[in-house]
Amino acid sequence: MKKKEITALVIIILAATFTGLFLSPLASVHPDGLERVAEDYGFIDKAKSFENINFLIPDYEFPGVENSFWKTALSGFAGVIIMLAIFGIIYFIIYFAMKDKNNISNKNKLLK
Amino acid sequence: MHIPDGFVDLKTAVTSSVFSISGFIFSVMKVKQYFRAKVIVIMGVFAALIFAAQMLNFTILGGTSGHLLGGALAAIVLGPFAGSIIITVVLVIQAFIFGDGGIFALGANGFNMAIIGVFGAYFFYWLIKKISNKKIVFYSAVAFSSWISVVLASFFAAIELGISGIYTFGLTLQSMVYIHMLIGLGEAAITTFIIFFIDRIRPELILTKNRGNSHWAGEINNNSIIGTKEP
Repeated sequence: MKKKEITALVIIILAATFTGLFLSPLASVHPDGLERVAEDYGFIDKAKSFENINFLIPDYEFPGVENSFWKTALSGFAGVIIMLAIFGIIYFIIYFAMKDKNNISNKNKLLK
Repeated sequence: MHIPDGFVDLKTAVTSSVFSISGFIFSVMKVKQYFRAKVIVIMGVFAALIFAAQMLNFTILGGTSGHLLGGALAAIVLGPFAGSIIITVVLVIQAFIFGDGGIFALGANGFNMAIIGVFGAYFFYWLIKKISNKKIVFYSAVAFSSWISVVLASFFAAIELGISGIYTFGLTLQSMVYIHMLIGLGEAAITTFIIFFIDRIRPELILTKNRGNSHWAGEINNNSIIGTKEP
Protein backbone atom coordinates (compact mmCIF):
# COMPACT_ATOMS: atom_id res chain seq x y z
CA MET A 1 0.00 0.00 0.00
CA LYS A 2 1.38 3.36 -0.96
CA LYS A 3 2.24 5.89 1.70
CA LYS A 4 -0.14 8.47 0.29
CA GLU A 5 -2.98 5.97 0.43
CA ILE A 6 -2.22 5.21 4.04
CA THR A 7 -2.16 8.93 4.84
CA ALA A 8 -5.56 9.37 3.22
CA LEU A 9 -6.97 6.42 5.16
CA VAL A 10 -5.59 7.82 8.41
CA ILE A 11 -7.31 11.12 7.65
CA ILE A 12 -10.60 9.27 7.12
CA ILE A 13 -10.12 7.36 10.39
CA LEU A 14 -9.51 10.66 12.20
CA ALA A 15 -12.63 12.12 10.59
CA ALA A 16 -14.65 9.10 11.69
CA THR A 17 -13.28 9.35 15.22
CA PHE A 18 -14.00 13.07 15.36
CA THR A 19 -17.54 12.48 14.10
CA GLY A 20 -18.16 9.65 16.55
CA LEU A 21 -16.70 11.54 19.49
CA PHE A 22 -17.57 15.19 19.08
CA LEU A 23 -20.33 15.45 16.50
CA SER A 24 -22.56 12.54 17.53
CA PRO A 25 -23.64 14.22 20.81
CA LEU A 26 -24.87 17.17 18.76
CA ALA A 27 -27.09 15.02 16.56
CA SER A 28 -30.77 15.79 16.14
CA VAL A 29 -32.94 14.17 18.79
CA HIS A 30 -36.08 14.15 16.68
CA PRO A 31 -37.57 10.76 15.77
CA ASP A 32 -36.28 9.39 12.48
CA GLY A 33 -38.40 8.86 9.39
CA LEU A 34 -39.64 5.42 10.37
CA GLU A 35 -40.38 6.46 13.98
CA ARG A 36 -42.22 9.54 12.73
CA VAL A 37 -44.46 7.46 10.48
CA ALA A 38 -44.97 4.93 13.27
CA GLU A 39 -46.02 7.74 15.62
CA ASP A 40 -48.29 9.43 13.10
CA TYR A 41 -50.06 6.22 12.24
CA GLY A 42 -50.19 4.94 15.78
CA PHE A 43 -48.09 1.81 15.70
CA ILE A 44 -44.99 3.06 17.53
CA ASP A 45 -46.09 1.26 20.71
CA LYS A 46 -45.79 -2.07 18.93
CA ALA A 47 -42.02 -1.67 19.06
CA LYS A 48 -40.46 -3.78 21.75
CA SER A 49 -37.01 -4.97 22.63
CA PHE A 50 -35.84 -8.17 24.19
CA GLU A 51 -35.97 -7.57 27.91
CA ASN A 52 -33.48 -10.28 28.75
CA ILE A 53 -30.67 -8.99 26.58
CA ASN A 54 -28.21 -6.67 28.21
CA PHE A 55 -26.78 -4.58 25.45
CA LEU A 56 -23.21 -3.49 26.01
CA ILE A 57 -23.97 0.11 25.07
CA PRO A 58 -27.77 0.42 25.03
CA ASP A 59 -29.19 3.28 22.92
CA TYR A 60 -25.76 4.75 22.28
CA GLU A 61 -25.38 5.67 25.94
CA PHE A 62 -22.11 4.55 27.40
CA PRO A 63 -22.86 2.77 30.66
CA GLY A 64 -21.69 4.36 33.89
CA VAL A 65 -21.32 7.83 32.40
CA GLU A 66 -23.67 10.52 33.73
CA ASN A 67 -22.79 13.41 31.46
CA SER A 68 -25.11 13.37 28.46
CA PHE A 69 -22.45 14.67 26.10
CA TRP A 70 -19.85 12.12 27.10
CA LYS A 71 -22.12 9.10 27.21
CA THR A 72 -22.95 9.62 23.54
CA ALA A 73 -19.43 10.67 22.67
CA LEU A 74 -17.88 7.58 24.24
CA SER A 75 -20.38 5.27 22.58
CA GLY A 76 -19.60 6.83 19.20
CA PHE A 77 -15.91 6.41 19.88
CA ALA A 78 -16.46 2.80 20.99
CA GLY A 79 -18.37 2.08 17.78
CA VAL A 80 -15.54 3.41 15.64
CA ILE A 81 -13.02 1.31 17.57
CA ILE A 82 -15.22 -1.81 17.29
CA MET A 83 -15.49 -1.41 13.52
CA LEU A 84 -11.74 -0.97 13.10
CA ALA A 85 -11.11 -3.90 15.46
CA ILE A 86 -13.40 -6.28 13.56
CA PHE A 87 -11.73 -5.64 10.23
CA GLY A 88 -8.32 -5.53 11.92
CA ILE A 89 -8.91 -9.01 13.29
CA ILE A 90 -10.04 -10.26 9.88
CA TYR A 91 -6.90 -8.75 8.37
CA PHE A 92 -4.63 -10.53 10.80
CA ILE A 93 -6.46 -13.83 10.49
CA ILE A 94 -5.86 -13.71 6.75
CA TYR A 95 -2.28 -12.56 7.26
CA PHE A 96 -1.43 -15.44 9.59
CA ALA A 97 -3.36 -17.99 7.58
CA MET A 98 -1.18 -17.06 4.66
CA LYS A 99 1.95 -17.13 6.78
CA ASP A 100 1.19 -20.61 8.09
CA LYS A 101 0.78 -21.92 4.61
CA ASN A 102 4.29 -20.62 4.04
CA ASN A 103 3.25 -19.77 0.58
CA ILE A 104 5.43 -16.73 0.10
CA SER A 105 4.38 -15.84 -3.40
CA ASN A 106 0.76 -16.21 -2.56
CA LYS A 107 1.15 -14.12 0.55
CA ASN A 108 2.98 -11.36 -1.24
CA LYS A 109 0.32 -11.33 -3.86
CA LEU A 110 -2.35 -11.03 -1.22
CA LEU A 111 -0.75 -8.36 0.88
CA LYS A 112 0.52 -6.26 -1.97
CA MET B 1 -34.73 3.40 9.26
CA HIS B 2 -33.70 0.65 11.65
CA ILE B 3 -36.81 -1.44 12.20
CA PRO B 4 -37.20 -2.29 15.88
CA ASP B 5 -38.42 -5.64 17.14
CA GLY B 6 -42.18 -6.00 17.17
CA PHE B 7 -42.69 -4.44 13.75
CA VAL B 8 -42.08 -7.51 11.60
CA ASP B 9 -43.83 -10.83 11.94
CA LEU B 10 -42.29 -14.28 11.70
CA LYS B 11 -42.80 -14.90 7.99
CA THR B 12 -41.36 -11.52 7.04
CA ALA B 13 -38.42 -11.93 9.39
CA VAL B 14 -37.61 -15.38 8.06
CA THR B 15 -38.01 -14.45 4.39
CA SER B 16 -35.93 -11.30 4.67
CA SER B 17 -33.29 -13.14 6.68
CA VAL B 18 -32.98 -15.77 3.95
CA PHE B 19 -32.39 -13.00 1.40
CA SER B 20 -29.97 -11.14 3.66
CA ILE B 21 -27.92 -14.18 4.59
CA SER B 22 -27.73 -15.41 0.99
CA GLY B 23 -26.73 -11.95 -0.12
CA PHE B 24 -24.05 -11.80 2.54
CA ILE B 25 -22.62 -15.22 1.66
CA PHE B 26 -22.69 -14.40 -2.04
CA SER B 27 -20.93 -11.09 -1.38
CA VAL B 28 -18.22 -12.79 0.67
CA MET B 29 -17.66 -15.28 -2.15
CA LYS B 30 -17.48 -12.49 -4.70
CA VAL B 31 -15.06 -10.42 -2.65
CA LYS B 32 -12.82 -13.43 -2.13
CA GLN B 33 -12.43 -13.73 -5.88
CA TYR B 34 -10.64 -10.44 -6.24
CA PHE B 35 -9.41 -10.24 -2.75
CA ARG B 36 -6.39 -8.30 -1.61
CA ALA B 37 -5.74 -7.64 2.05
CA LYS B 38 -5.76 -3.91 1.55
CA VAL B 39 -9.39 -4.12 0.58
CA ILE B 40 -9.96 -5.27 4.16
CA VAL B 41 -8.16 -2.16 5.40
CA ILE B 42 -10.34 0.13 3.31
CA MET B 43 -13.45 -1.80 4.38
CA GLY B 44 -12.57 -1.30 8.04
CA VAL B 45 -11.93 2.40 7.61
CA PHE B 46 -15.23 2.96 5.82
CA ALA B 47 -17.16 0.77 8.25
CA ALA B 48 -15.89 3.04 11.02
CA LEU B 49 -16.76 6.17 9.06
CA ILE B 50 -20.26 4.93 8.20
CA PHE B 51 -20.92 3.87 11.78
CA ALA B 52 -19.95 7.32 13.04
CA ALA B 53 -21.91 9.10 10.33
CA GLN B 54 -25.01 7.02 11.11
CA MET B 55 -25.04 8.52 14.60
CA LEU B 56 -25.35 12.00 13.16
CA ASN B 57 -29.06 12.56 12.87
CA PHE B 58 -29.96 15.71 10.99
CA THR B 59 -33.30 17.46 11.31
CA ILE B 60 -35.58 17.65 8.34
CA LEU B 61 -38.84 19.55 8.44
CA GLY B 62 -41.52 18.92 11.00
CA GLY B 63 -39.57 17.55 13.92
CA THR B 64 -38.28 14.55 12.05
CA SER B 65 -34.70 13.48 11.64
CA GLY B 66 -32.73 11.27 9.35
CA HIS B 67 -29.21 10.01 9.17
CA LEU B 68 -26.82 8.64 6.61
CA LEU B 69 -27.32 4.98 5.74
CA GLY B 70 -24.07 4.76 3.84
CA GLY B 71 -25.16 2.10 1.38
CA ALA B 72 -24.34 4.21 -1.64
CA LEU B 73 -21.09 5.44 -0.12
CA ALA B 74 -19.96 1.89 0.59
CA ALA B 75 -20.99 0.67 -2.87
CA ILE B 76 -19.26 3.51 -4.68
CA VAL B 77 -16.02 3.27 -2.74
CA LEU B 78 -15.73 -0.51 -2.53
CA GLY B 79 -18.11 -1.96 -5.08
CA PRO B 80 -21.46 -3.44 -4.08
CA PHE B 81 -20.21 -6.75 -2.70
CA ALA B 82 -17.62 -5.41 -0.26
CA GLY B 83 -20.00 -2.52 0.40
CA SER B 84 -22.80 -4.86 1.33
CA ILE B 85 -20.50 -6.70 3.73
CA ILE B 86 -19.55 -3.56 5.63
CA ILE B 87 -23.14 -2.35 5.95
CA THR B 88 -24.09 -5.80 7.25
CA VAL B 89 -21.31 -5.66 9.84
CA VAL B 90 -22.43 -2.18 10.92
CA LEU B 91 -26.05 -3.36 11.28
CA VAL B 92 -25.08 -6.47 13.26
CA ILE B 93 -22.99 -4.44 15.70
CA GLN B 94 -25.74 -1.84 16.06
CA ALA B 95 -28.31 -4.53 16.80
CA PHE B 96 -26.25 -6.60 19.23
CA ILE B 97 -24.15 -3.99 21.04
CA PHE B 98 -26.13 -0.76 20.76
CA GLY B 99 -29.67 -2.12 20.73
CA ASP B 100 -30.39 -0.11 17.58
CA GLY B 101 -32.67 -2.02 15.22
CA GLY B 102 -34.27 -5.23 16.37
CA ILE B 103 -32.48 -8.54 16.61
CA PHE B 104 -35.50 -10.38 15.27
CA ALA B 105 -35.77 -7.63 12.63
CA LEU B 106 -32.09 -7.82 11.69
CA GLY B 107 -32.84 -9.80 8.55
CA ALA B 108 -35.32 -7.18 7.41
CA ASN B 109 -32.91 -4.33 8.18
CA GLY B 110 -30.13 -6.18 6.41
CA PHE B 111 -32.33 -6.69 3.37
CA ASN B 112 -33.38 -3.03 3.22
CA MET B 113 -30.07 -1.38 3.92
CA ALA B 114 -27.31 -3.86 3.05
CA ILE B 115 -28.95 -5.47 0.01
CA ILE B 116 -31.44 -2.98 -1.48
CA GLY B 117 -29.61 0.10 -0.17
CA VAL B 118 -26.27 -1.05 -1.54
CA PHE B 119 -27.09 -2.93 -4.73
CA GLY B 120 -29.89 -0.53 -5.63
CA ALA B 121 -27.50 2.37 -5.23
CA TYR B 122 -24.81 0.67 -7.24
CA PHE B 123 -27.18 -0.20 -10.05
CA PHE B 124 -28.17 3.45 -10.60
CA TYR B 125 -24.61 4.66 -10.08
CA TRP B 126 -23.39 2.21 -12.72
CA LEU B 127 -26.22 3.09 -15.06
CA ILE B 128 -25.67 6.86 -14.89
CA LYS B 129 -21.90 6.59 -14.99
CA LYS B 130 -22.19 4.75 -18.31
CA ILE B 131 -23.29 7.99 -19.98
CA SER B 132 -19.83 9.51 -20.03
CA ASN B 133 -16.59 9.96 -18.14
CA LYS B 134 -17.31 13.57 -17.28
CA LYS B 135 -16.96 14.66 -13.67
CA ILE B 136 -20.45 16.09 -13.61
CA VAL B 137 -21.87 12.74 -14.69
CA PHE B 138 -19.87 10.97 -12.00
CA TYR B 139 -21.16 13.29 -9.29
CA SER B 140 -24.71 13.10 -10.62
CA ALA B 141 -24.41 9.33 -10.40
CA VAL B 142 -23.16 9.61 -6.81
CA ALA B 143 -25.91 12.01 -5.74
CA PHE B 144 -28.79 10.26 -7.46
CA SER B 145 -27.77 6.76 -6.39
CA SER B 146 -27.50 7.91 -2.74
CA TRP B 147 -30.92 9.52 -2.87
CA ILE B 148 -32.61 6.57 -4.56
CA SER B 149 -30.99 4.06 -2.19
CA VAL B 150 -32.74 5.65 0.79
CA VAL B 151 -36.07 5.87 -1.03
CA LEU B 152 -35.86 2.23 -2.16
CA ALA B 153 -34.83 1.03 1.30
CA SER B 154 -37.74 2.90 2.91
CA PHE B 155 -40.13 1.49 0.31
CA PHE B 156 -39.08 -2.05 1.13
CA ALA B 157 -39.16 -1.34 4.86
CA ALA B 158 -42.72 -0.08 4.47
CA ILE B 159 -43.68 -3.13 2.42
CA GLU B 160 -42.28 -5.43 5.13
CA LEU B 161 -44.25 -3.65 7.84
CA GLY B 162 -47.35 -3.80 5.67
CA ILE B 163 -46.96 -7.53 5.01
CA SER B 164 -46.46 -8.02 8.75
CA GLY B 165 -49.89 -6.48 9.22
CA ILE B 166 -48.67 -3.62 11.37
CA TYR B 167 -50.69 -1.15 9.30
CA THR B 168 -52.76 -1.13 6.19
CA PHE B 169 -50.98 -0.10 3.02
CA GLY B 170 -51.87 3.06 1.19
CA LEU B 171 -51.37 6.28 3.05
CA THR B 172 -48.76 4.89 5.45
CA LEU B 173 -46.65 3.48 2.64
CA GLN B 174 -46.92 6.82 0.89
CA SER B 175 -45.83 8.80 3.97
CA MET B 176 -42.93 6.46 4.57
CA VAL B 177 -41.62 6.97 1.03
CA TYR B 178 -42.32 10.73 1.00
CA ILE B 179 -40.48 11.33 4.24
CA HIS B 180 -37.50 9.36 3.00
CA MET B 181 -37.46 11.30 -0.25
CA LEU B 182 -36.51 14.23 1.98
CA ILE B 183 -34.09 12.27 4.13
CA GLY B 184 -32.52 10.97 0.91
CA LEU B 185 -31.49 14.54 0.04
CA GLY B 186 -29.36 14.55 3.19
CA GLU B 187 -27.92 11.19 2.20
CA ALA B 188 -27.09 12.54 -1.26
CA ALA B 189 -25.46 15.69 0.16
CA ILE B 190 -23.32 13.82 2.69
CA THR B 191 -22.31 11.03 0.30
CA THR B 192 -21.42 13.49 -2.46
CA PHE B 193 -19.38 15.55 0.00
CA ILE B 194 -17.43 12.54 1.25
CA ILE B 195 -16.82 11.21 -2.27
CA PHE B 196 -15.75 14.70 -3.39
CA PHE B 197 -13.31 14.91 -0.49
CA ILE B 198 -11.80 11.47 -1.18
CA ASP B 199 -11.65 12.23 -4.88
CA ARG B 200 -9.60 15.32 -4.08
CA ILE B 201 -7.14 13.72 -1.70
CA ARG B 202 -6.77 10.18 -3.07
CA PRO B 203 -9.04 9.28 -5.97
CA GLU B 204 -7.68 5.74 -6.28
CA LEU B 205 -9.37 4.89 -2.99
CA ILE B 206 -12.66 5.07 -4.85
CA LEU B 207 -12.33 1.60 -6.26
CA THR B 208 -15.28 1.76 -8.66
CA LYS B 209 -14.41 5.07 -10.21
CA ASN B 210 -12.26 4.17 -13.16
CA ARG B 211 -13.67 0.81 -13.99
CA GLY B 212 -15.33 0.05 -17.26
CA ASN B 213 -18.93 -0.88 -17.59
CA SER B 214 -18.51 -4.58 -17.75
CA HIS B 215 -18.48 -5.62 -14.14
CA TRP B 216 -19.73 -4.95 -10.69
CA ALA B 217 -16.94 -6.17 -8.53
CA GLY B 218 -14.29 -8.37 -9.95
CA GLU B 219 -12.04 -7.32 -12.75
CA ILE B 220 -10.12 -4.25 -11.92
CA ASN B 221 -7.82 -2.15 -14.02
CA ASN B 222 -4.10 -1.82 -13.50
CA ASN B 223 -4.21 1.49 -11.75
CA SER B 224 -6.61 0.30 -9.16
CA ILE B 225 -5.51 -0.21 -5.61
CA ILE B 226 -6.41 -3.88 -5.70
CA GLY B 227 -4.26 -4.72 -8.66
CA THR B 228 -5.00 -6.92 -11.59
CA LYS B 229 -6.34 -10.40 -11.42
CA GLU B 230 -3.53 -12.87 -11.75
CA PRO B 231 -3.50 -14.60 -15.11
